[in-house]
Amino acid sequence: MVSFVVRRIGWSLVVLLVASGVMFVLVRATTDPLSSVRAASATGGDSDAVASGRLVAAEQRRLGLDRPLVAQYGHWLGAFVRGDWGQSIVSHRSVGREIRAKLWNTVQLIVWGIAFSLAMSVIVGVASASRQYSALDHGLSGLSFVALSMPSFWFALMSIELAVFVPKRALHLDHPLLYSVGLHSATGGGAFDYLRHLVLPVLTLSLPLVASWSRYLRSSMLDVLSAPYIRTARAKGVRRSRVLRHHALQNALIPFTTVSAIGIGGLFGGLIITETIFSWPGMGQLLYNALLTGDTNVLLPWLVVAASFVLACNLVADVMHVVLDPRVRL
Amino acid sequence: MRSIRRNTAAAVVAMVLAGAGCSASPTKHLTPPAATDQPAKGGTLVIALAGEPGCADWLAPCGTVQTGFTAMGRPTVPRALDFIDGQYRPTAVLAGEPVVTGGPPQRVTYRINPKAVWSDGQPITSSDFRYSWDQIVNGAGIANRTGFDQIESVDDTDPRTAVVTFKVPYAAWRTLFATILPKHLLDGKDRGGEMKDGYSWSGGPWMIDHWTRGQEIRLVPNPRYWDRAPNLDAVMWKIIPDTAAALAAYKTGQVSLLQALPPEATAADLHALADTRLDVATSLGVSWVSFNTQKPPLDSLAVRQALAYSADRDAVVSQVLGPIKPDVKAVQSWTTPASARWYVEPFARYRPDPAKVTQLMAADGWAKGADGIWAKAGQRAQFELLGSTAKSNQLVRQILQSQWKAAGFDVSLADAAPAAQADREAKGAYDADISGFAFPSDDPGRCAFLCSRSIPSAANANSGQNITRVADPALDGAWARVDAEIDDARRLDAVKVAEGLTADLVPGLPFAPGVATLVYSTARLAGPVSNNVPYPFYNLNEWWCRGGQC
Repeated sequence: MVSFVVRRIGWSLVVLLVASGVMFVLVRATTDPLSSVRAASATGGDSDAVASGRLVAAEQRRLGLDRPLVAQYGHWLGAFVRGDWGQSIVSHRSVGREIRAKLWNTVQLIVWGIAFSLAMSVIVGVASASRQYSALDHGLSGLSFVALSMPSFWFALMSIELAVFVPKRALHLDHPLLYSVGLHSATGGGAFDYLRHLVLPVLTLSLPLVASWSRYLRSSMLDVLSAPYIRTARAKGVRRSRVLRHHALQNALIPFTTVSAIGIGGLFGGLIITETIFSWPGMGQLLYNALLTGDTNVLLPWLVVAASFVLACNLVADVMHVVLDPRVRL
Repeated sequence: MRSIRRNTAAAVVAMVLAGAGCSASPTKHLTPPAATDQPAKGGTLVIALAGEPGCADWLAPCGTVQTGFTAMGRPTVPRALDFIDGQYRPTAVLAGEPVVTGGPPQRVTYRINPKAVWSDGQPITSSDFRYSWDQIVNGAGIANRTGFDQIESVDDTDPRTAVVTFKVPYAAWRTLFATILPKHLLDGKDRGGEMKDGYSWSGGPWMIDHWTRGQEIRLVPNPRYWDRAPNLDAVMWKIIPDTAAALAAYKTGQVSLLQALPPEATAADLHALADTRLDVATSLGVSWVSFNTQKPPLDSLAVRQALAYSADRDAVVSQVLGPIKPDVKAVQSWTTPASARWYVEPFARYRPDPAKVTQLMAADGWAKGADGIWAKAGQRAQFELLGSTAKSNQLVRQILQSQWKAAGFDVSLADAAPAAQADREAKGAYDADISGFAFPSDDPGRCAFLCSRSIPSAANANSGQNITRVADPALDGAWARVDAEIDDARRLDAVKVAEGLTADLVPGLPFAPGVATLVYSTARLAGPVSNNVPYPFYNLNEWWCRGGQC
């Protein structure tokens, strides 16, 4: 088991290295760290142009952009590993510091989103599978398809209207039951206030996950429930709930872990919409602003962090797979 | 002079979109405010802030985003004079009106209030005036040196009296010393580094408690403020870049005040909300299209004039503001009509005139290609029009794009966040953009924006706000005369000449007057005052929460 985990970590690092190289090349190919300096050099008279040309050359030398791409990558990677992630072009602050601050906010959203999505998916998936073709199954399946086809931004806006505005107006409340801006209130704090800020963004982030994961778990459960050993267990008199919990669900979760891990990795993409609508100061907002402002220094570290997150999720999935299915160890 | 660059969102949202009642009806009461109740202490006011600055060094280009200065700079940094209700008034920093001796040389004597202290208890002295002048003139990374570069010396012999001597007569002296920095805390240090993430000192009624980037700015009362202490316990600026989210936050009571009418809202929407008041006040700002006069094809005077003759600016303003203010007209100079005594209309000559466009372009050697776009020696008349992601800003650019395309100009649109836009403007890394400026007074001097010495460049560490990069000796001379002419009548003549020359050169195209809007709940908040300065928060220390809670 230990050697398996070590081997997988090793491979993950290799993949991360390759991914970082590809991202480095792509970012360098599509953005220019000296774009503003170059653009500035296109203005002014001849003497200014000469001065600006010198400035561009000096900046190229200072940043090592006059060296071969491989050497640039090596230099960047070395600095990245040492924790020197450069400085934001816009805020002139350390990119590492910016990402750390935003990552913590995003991690909170993701952790709660995953926990909620997993719990709801298992409940919905098991309920649907255990009562196949019943009204409950049809109802849950229909809701899943609605959730899958509903754009996240629309759900977010509707949730603000229906869960924040309407109750406040209908009940004549001084403050809304749920909040739609930021992580905490200006005056308040504490767990309850935090929870009231968390509900809507977590719901928005989780909705497509719950919809797809529950469908997958339902199928997986149905496959397992039709297996001979389940019929044998039932024939031996094992109670239905025990069969579902100990025999069906445990086996159905094996493929589900892989699917959910990939889905968790993909959460980074959905963060942009969620964080923008709910003014949640996280990684999604950071990427959006970096793209908007052309802050190339933020882009590459952001992408590497996102890739690391995806790889970490896959690693966890692999380990979970081994834990849940001992045959993989063989 | 400290001219604050509005971020583009604020520029167009506050100046353009929210242009309702620009002159005719300065204030709209959706719900009549209760005027009889007494101010109460306590409570936290939550305000939606559309954009934050790149830094909190208010002298640097990264600190010129107005919303940031409004939120953090103005409540914490002392200044000599305020421009309120059409008049300059000494702030609590001064013991009285500054004394001016016409000279030559012109001298202004500021007597400092003996009670004026920084938040650490150290007195505000003439050395702080001298240090601020020195930083602006000699410091690194200064956005605007205009006016300060006309000062010969600042005598700080008497700590309570700052005597400013000018090299030449300077009419706009009242606009100076709008940012006074604490020498005892900053001298010998890297000012930008010390201030960029916020600062713990204050010389105003408020102090910065914290600034969490992308999240919030919290102000708390300065316990050593010597004048009128704030009523509120704290002011929280929630950073909500999305206007729809900000509107939802207001509707649901998560914020009590919006700085601008969101494009998603109309006055009718606000009528539907109980206890909501919309203040629309004339401001001294102007929105214009800046042309980078050093980048082709906009380096051609004929092209710029042709663009001016192709744009129906009244239509632009009408389409954007029409639903709110049907009779609004385009601005015809670099000065807003709100500065009535200085307002002239040299740009009025630029009305849509296709024949004139053809004549100008043909005379400059341009000919229309098969695609209907002007071209000259293989160069097409194409450029990028930069602006913010604010819906109103995008609408303005889309209308202009359409008008200019019909006239044979290929215009592409690009979006940028306020700080990035300011950065690109300062470096000349743009073709044309929508700029908005909220002037702190009605002073007509525009050298900061139109004189060659104000062009940001690598040589001057991107100082200056002449982002159009227009450089013309006659224009320099004309605007210098505006700055130097003390007599009002002769100054108005100088303004006419300078504005006329500016219209000849078309470094930009003014189009919208400035207004300031506030949307707030009268059930929760009292104290905001409509006036024609671009800072509706100038009396923030007098605001109070009804029922002790905003």
